[in-house]
Amino acid sequence: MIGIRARPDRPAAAAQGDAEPIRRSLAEPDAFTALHDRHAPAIHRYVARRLGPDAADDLMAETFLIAFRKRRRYDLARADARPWLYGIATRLVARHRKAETARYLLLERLGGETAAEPVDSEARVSAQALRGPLARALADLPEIYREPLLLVAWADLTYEEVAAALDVPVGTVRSRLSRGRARLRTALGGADPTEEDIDG
Amino acid sequence: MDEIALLREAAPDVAPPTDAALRAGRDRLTAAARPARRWAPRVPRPAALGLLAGAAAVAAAVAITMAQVVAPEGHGSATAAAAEVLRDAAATARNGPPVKPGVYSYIRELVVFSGEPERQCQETWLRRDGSMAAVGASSEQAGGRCEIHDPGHRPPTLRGDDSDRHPDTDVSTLPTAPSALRERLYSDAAHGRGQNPDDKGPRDQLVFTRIGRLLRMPLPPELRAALFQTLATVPGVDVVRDEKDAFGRQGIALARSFGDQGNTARVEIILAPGTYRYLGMKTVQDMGAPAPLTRLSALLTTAAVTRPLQRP
Repeated sequence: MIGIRARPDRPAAAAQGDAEPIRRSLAEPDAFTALHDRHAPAIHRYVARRLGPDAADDLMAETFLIAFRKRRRYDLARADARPWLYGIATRLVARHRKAETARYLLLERLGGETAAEPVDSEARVSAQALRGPLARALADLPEIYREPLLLVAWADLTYEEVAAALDVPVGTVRSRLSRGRARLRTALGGADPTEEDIDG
Repeated sequence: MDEIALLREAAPDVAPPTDAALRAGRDRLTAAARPARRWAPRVPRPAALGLLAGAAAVAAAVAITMAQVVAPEGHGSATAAAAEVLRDAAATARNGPPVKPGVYSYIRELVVFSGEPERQCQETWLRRDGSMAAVGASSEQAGGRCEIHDPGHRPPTLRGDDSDRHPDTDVSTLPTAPSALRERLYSDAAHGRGQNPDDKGPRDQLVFTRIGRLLRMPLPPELRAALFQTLATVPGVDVVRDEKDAFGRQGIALARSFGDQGNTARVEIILAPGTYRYLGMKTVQDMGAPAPLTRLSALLTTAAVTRPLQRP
């Protein structure tokens, strides 16, 4: 059972009331900054985990710029904008998917092109955390499985929220998560994935 | 343990965004919310000019080390073969055209990572102390053309807070006598001058890195020559023949390996044979993946500009 769990770190204000600043921003564009202030750190963390802190600065900003441009399309019936924002961030990360987290970071840093922020220790940590068999398994995982897995594991979204973020039915999310987990299990030397393919 | 719990546990423990990053993101949003304030129109540089500027430039590897090298620092020199190449490079550079360094240096490169068909265009702005002021990336168009106005990719963003932290390391104040320059670079490395805030490692590596950054800027010929001569005195520098840049241009490379268990990276500066103008650089990092990972670049344009984010 992995779909439901407590998320004490979710800001109370975020779960409600995102629709309000978005609605107001239609007439007063500046009101959209409230959404940035509320969610930018979480979006940054998610992108930083996938691509590293330097790319995260840019993609965090870009996520909110794109959201701002598309704000007219936001479904104001949804109080929580996180799935929408994570969906945008995920699509931005996908553009960088060929640059897998660790190597992207390390190589780019070694190239000196992102070396202007004091992020040395973080870079080392993410590189280390993603080393070993799990990193390789994750790197080998097709994007359609990796995205829902990481949205659940690293962005703390529920299945329904992942479905909204990726704009696919929740049943599709379930089956992709299940297959993604099975692939990881196999890659990590676990049981035959076909044995446990039905999972929630 | 289920795989999602495993992933949760392995989630990289990343630092929250800096205040500067949050402010920059918010500022971009605020700017977008005010349609009346437009960016100044950017005038693309004619390709021929860009190539000329590129030909005038010599640049090098910029490397960050996370490891400590045991060998005593500042003693020894490059290999004899590398020293010979660098002697020739210095002699050639000394006869180069006069160049006035700018307040900022603009650099545009083509970058390719191993195993990835897509190439990137990368733009970098260096301060006059050789540290990085801004960086951005866009996708490559056909034939190495850069769509620098591509709004979708990574637009250039400012790095760091202040625009000019170390005016004392302005390139125009660097000595052009090789021994004095060497002394100055090692002293700067010991005192954290002319470095990016996160540059760490042994002084040999910091000096190598700094020279790499400096060589990439438009520089007076005598300083460029002195930098080549200094590079010949940095321990661990070797020469690699028959190297190619991201464009496939044949070159001769100066290489330095970190040679440490924690950091096996090898960085190469690729120069054009004979003219010693900068072609590109190559970084090879073996991270235990099936194949070593490589970042390869090719210089497209370099030029002096008066402020960061300004294009020539």
